[in-house]
Amino acid sequence: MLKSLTAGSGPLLRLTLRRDRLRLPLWVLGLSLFMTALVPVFQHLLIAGDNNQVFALMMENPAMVALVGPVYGAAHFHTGAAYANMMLVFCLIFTALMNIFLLTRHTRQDEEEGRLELIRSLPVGRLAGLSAALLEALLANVLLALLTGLGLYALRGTGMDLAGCLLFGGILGATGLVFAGLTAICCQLTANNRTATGLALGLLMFFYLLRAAGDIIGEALALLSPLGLALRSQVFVTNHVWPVFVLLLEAALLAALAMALASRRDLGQGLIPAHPGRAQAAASLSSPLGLAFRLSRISALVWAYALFILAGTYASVFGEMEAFITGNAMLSALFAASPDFSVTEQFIGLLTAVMAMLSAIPMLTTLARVVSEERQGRAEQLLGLPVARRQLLGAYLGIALVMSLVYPAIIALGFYGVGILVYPQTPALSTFLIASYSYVPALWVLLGLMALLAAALPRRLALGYSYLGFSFFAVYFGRLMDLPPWVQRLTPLGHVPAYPMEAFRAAPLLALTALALALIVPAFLLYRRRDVQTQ
Amino acid sequence: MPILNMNQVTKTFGTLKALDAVNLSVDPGEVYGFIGPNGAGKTTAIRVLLGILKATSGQATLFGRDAWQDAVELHRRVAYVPGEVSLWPNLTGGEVIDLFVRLRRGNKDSARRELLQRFDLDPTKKCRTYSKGNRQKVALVAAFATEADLYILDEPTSGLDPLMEEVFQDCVLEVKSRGKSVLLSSHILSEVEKLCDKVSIIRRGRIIETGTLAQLRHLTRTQVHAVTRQPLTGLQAMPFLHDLHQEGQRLSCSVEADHLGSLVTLLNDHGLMHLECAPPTLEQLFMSHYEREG
Repeated sequence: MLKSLTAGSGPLLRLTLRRDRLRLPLWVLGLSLFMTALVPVFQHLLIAGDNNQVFALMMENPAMVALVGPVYGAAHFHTGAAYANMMLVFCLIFTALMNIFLLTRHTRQDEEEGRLELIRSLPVGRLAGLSAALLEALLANVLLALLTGLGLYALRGTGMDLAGCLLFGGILGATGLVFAGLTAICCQLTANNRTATGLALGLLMFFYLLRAAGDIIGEALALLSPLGLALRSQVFVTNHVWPVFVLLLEAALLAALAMALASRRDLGQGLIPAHPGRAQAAASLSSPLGLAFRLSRISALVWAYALFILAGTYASVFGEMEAFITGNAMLSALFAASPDFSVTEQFIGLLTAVMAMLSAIPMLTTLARVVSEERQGRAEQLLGLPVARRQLLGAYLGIALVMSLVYPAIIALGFYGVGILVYPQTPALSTFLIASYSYVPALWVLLGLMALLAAALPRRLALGYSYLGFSFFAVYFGRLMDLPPWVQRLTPLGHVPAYPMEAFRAAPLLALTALALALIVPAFLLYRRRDVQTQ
Repeated sequence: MPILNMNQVTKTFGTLKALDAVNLSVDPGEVYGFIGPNGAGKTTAIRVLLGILKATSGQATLFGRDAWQDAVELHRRVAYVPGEVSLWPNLTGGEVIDLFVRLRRGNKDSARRELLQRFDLDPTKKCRTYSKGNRQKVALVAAFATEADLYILDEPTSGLDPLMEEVFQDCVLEVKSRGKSVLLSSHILSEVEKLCDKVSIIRRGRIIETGTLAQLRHLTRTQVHAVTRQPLTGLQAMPFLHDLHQEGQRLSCSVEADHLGSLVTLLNDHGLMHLECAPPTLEQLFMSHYEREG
């Protein structure tokens, strides 16, 4: 029975591998490189700083435990222990992502685009497509496990023996297979590729949060998550192998369940019927602004959440930062410039600049949408209606401007809210608000530049992102590498007073606002004058 | 006064001349066919008329006003269905229709419901799941659900099945019966033949022929099949006959429209027993233009 259901899996697997002859090696090589290349950095940082204990203390902070997992081997916090603590959970997430995309691509996506129908008309079993995809996942995860394990051993630092390195790889491969199985099930439940991918990604996030909760409030909860289970291997510390076996068993059960579900459903259908959407539009969807809001609201919320979490994560180490930085030669050089201010205060200035620049990414992508909507041929339909060009540009610019006013508050709240919990000397909320809002006019200049590019040089929109990248380089590394001051002057963010280290001054901010206006006004005039970009 | 007018409109993209001194004029109440192969410039001409592209030279007007300058005002009276309908993947068809109807400030709920039924479209599905035909239906429902004075339809049926094509043709005829104008770009000639009062043929950015269908037919040859009592002789000498096939008393040939009368007289003199005259189909008309122009 099973044999006839999976007939043709072999040739299909060869087809799958041939189609992925570039993609699969890139994923596997890229991931194993990412997972091993940072070992020397850790080794250098921990030996040069000679502050392993402070580092371990910092990682034992509940916020960091929630972020990356529990600390094992804190007593002798060698490179291996630190590396597994900081990196393993991220490596697991990337491996899970590889498996999710690999599985959906070769099952649901093939089915959606009609390729599977063609194959099913051949003497091929009903489960051949799914089993070929699962076999490819098996191959990919085994390769990834071996490459990562051997790569880690090649670059090994203190405390990283061969058994530990191979266990690190094995844990990745086994967790990857669990997510391959989970994704295979998602692909049977939902009726299209996007929903299946969304469901699998949702599960990944759920298991990450379950692990975070479990790591803080109770071990049993963490074991329910494959990610939590994987961390219990205590790689490079006690090297437990049992989690690998449990994960492999889970993966096998999930794959079997996926097969059972797949044999029970029709081609092109999902076990959970797709729920119908709204037949009529909400009242808010009646203007270009309403449409732009509808299209960007999810990503705007996700970014708000991400910025809050990131600011909170930085703030969670305010207390230990002082000790850590004074103990690290490289970092204390960076922060020793002004003896009048505490390390934390200097740290806040730099962190606020970094967060402001990160928050510029969603603003720029929202504004850039005005051009991508043209290229996709959708703007043409709106402009065929009584809709003015300025309404389209205005809608996306308007939403980006609202982001520029809301995100600084979220960043300041993230810093203050978490900071005050872990570090009593955290400055007042107003300090964070002033520091954060000082960057708003500079963000407006970036937006003005992007608007002008969209209006005058729509094909060169990438210049806007490049300029943000340059700004990051100039502001962040400007201090570290002691670049001449004029480098920072080339970006609007370099003109913002670094409050609280520098006094708040209104003059540069007013000048930046004027500059932003001087970019935005011609953008509207030029956008009216050019051809709409068409397909 | 024409509702839609293009006067010597030229549009270049870099060195490519997409439109070359195009003239086009649609009168009130007229259904106007705009035919030509892919890449001939139909869509570019329509985009110029909608103020989406700016004419390099010449003038395009709708309702007597400049199509570029007054685009927003003019579009209150225009309904447009693009050739390639791309929609927002995470909005439902119903949401898109409502958005379009509201942006034109029309609000005819009954018309929307009826059109959804006639076009057999499920408005609760996300646009990403729609086929090309269903995306076209979304745009068609949105266009016909509001009252416009001019409907600009760019190959609106290229993804529709024959049943839906029929519904579409009914919609066009209803609009026409209310005295509205339609510019219908197409390469489905039977559709143009069925719906249009006047036709322009565009090729490589130039209008190569304009007129009513009757006028255009006049420019070409009529297909004739005949049987006579006495065998015909000397036909080869007649310069207005083409594709001549003679087999005893049977004759088949094509004849230039102006000389149809002289051929019929000749046949009659030889004891005409059977006569079939077929007007050229638009297909033949089209092909003959393309062959002639090389």
